[in-house]
Amino acid sequence: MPILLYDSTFDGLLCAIAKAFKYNYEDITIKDKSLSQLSLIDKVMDIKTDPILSKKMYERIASLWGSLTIENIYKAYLYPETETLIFKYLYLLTKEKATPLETLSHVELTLLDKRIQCVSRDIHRWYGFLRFKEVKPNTFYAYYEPKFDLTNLIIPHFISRFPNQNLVIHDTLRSYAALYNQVEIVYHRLEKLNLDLLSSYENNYQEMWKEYLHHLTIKERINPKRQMAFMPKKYWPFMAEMNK
Amino acid sequence: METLDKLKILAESAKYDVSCSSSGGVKRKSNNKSVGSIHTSGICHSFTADGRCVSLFKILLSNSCIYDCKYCINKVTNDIKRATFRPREVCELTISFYKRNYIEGLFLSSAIVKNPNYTMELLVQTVMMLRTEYHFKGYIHLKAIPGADQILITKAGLYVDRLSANIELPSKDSLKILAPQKTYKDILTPMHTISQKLLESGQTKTKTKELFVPAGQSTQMIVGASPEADGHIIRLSEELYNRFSLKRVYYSSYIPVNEDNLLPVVPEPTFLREHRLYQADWLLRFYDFKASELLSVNQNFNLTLDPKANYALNNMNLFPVNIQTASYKLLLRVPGIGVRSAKRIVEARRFTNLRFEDLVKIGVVMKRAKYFIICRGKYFMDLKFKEETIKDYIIMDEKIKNKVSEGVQLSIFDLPSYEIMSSVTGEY
Repeated sequence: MPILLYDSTFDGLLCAIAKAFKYNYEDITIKDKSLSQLSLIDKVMDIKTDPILSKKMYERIASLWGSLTIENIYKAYLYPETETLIFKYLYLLTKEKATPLETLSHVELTLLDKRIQCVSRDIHRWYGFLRFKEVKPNTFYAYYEPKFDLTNLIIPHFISRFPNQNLVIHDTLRSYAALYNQVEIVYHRLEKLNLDLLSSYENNYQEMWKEYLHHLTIKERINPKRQMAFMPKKYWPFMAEMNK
Repeated sequence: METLDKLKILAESAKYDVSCSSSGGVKRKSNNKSVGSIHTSGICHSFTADGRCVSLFKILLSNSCIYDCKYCINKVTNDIKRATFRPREVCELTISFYKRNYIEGLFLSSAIVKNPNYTMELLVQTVMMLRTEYHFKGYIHLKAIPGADQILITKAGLYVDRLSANIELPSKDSLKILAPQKTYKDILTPMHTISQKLLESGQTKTKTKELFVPAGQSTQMIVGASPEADGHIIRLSEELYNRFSLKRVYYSSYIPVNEDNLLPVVPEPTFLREHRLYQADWLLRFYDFKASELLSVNQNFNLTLDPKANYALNNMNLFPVNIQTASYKLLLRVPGIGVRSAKRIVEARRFTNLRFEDLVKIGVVMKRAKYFIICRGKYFMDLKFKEETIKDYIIMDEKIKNKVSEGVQLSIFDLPSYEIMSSVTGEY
């Protein structure tokens, strides 16, 4: 059973998929080079990342099956070890005469569907739980540690919401940030920052927000289990109101 | 009074208005002057300790009310701290919270200050300021004050995403007893105005992109403060959805904050009843049920069984349903199959003849659904369920579920007989 190794990038994955179409899907596995342990038995092929080929694949998929399919595939790619399933999906799309969304309901793809939902849910939660601080006039900074590498997926939402502000979204787990200066987006390595510089003005707003939330609670309905179900503890370190 | 103090008092006063959603609006982005956007499905920014979603900045403009509604914390005869925001204070707070991504927008209500028109004018002034001076393009939900002039209501609708008027109580008589200064006419008139205007603006496509109340209207009623049965309440909701094209009806369990011999004495708030109402509400809106299929007018909900299971047991002639061939509508009627699962079944069965393992993967709640469906010609686990015994099994399942959540130790004889068999043989 041949194993195709790619270099962990999305472009690399597209090249591996292009190669995989030559085999029957039952037979191949696609793996991330940096994560896999090689066995001596399987036939292993190292796929070189060719930017021209990956661009061609990208455009081909988008024109055949729409930008939503590209979006779904990208989200699935962010979930570790989903590469072979992605290929299976595209393979089934070429075989069956159904739309991309209908094909995603195929019983052999329920795991893929679940993983795409998982990443989508995480993105949606961060839209709500990411918190900004005004570190300089009109410059807003937020930091977070997402399970999946989704900074480039969430920044468009915030730019369409705050186009006239400077934004920094800092992934402190992966040590890089997306920076927006009202003109363009730039990605840059950034280590954890020490932000004790917060003005009293900023602290004021955090204080007001905490007090506001506290006074919204109806005591007769207190239900910590329910609260945690909707707002898992892993998001709490980044939300001012959950920290004293 | 400091802004922070006003904020505490007016948040405390606003918390019983349970409407929370920031959804239903038309997708919007900002341009080079404005701030804010709309996400059509709404975004939850936080959750209070009682587990409710915080999506909007929910606040009263003032809690200095001239009315004396018996159930309300802000009634004029209560001795509590009173506060009033200036419109600019509300705008400043909204914009500051919004820029920090604490909220999706503003939910603004008010107690009746001086008279309904005066109050409504202050509210309109606030939202106008937010839209035109602060160029705010996020979500705004505004309350329509009962008794205010329809011209003011219509004007407000040009600046907000959602307008709502609370029906408060499920019947004219209850309203008369508990909130004598509000009348049903005062409440239903703005609802009518808004729904008329919505119809009008839907039919004429204006070039000026000023949409009237794009996220529609909603309402709220208190459950448990007055004697009406659930059947009456759910029919009222159905009427409101059909006649006024409401987007949502909210049900708020009565929580006693005042003492009055006209108010009922409730040992414990009726959260389960509220939960059943929401379940039934969902059945009306997404599962194509009619109120008359669920309950008769003077009936209350079965507290052991949810409304869908209750319906299924009373209509066993519809079941079992063949997963491979049943229509989408019929699939929706099966307990344990929700809207998502029903859609997935319809799509997945194009490719293969579905098996029970596939249904489990899709997300069907087999524990419930197993009594009502057949796959590839067979019942789940190849057992032949008899109509008479299904009801017993389901009620037993519910009792077990309740015992488990109470932490009671189960014995093997608590299980239904076929489960005893499988727990002994090890096969599912």
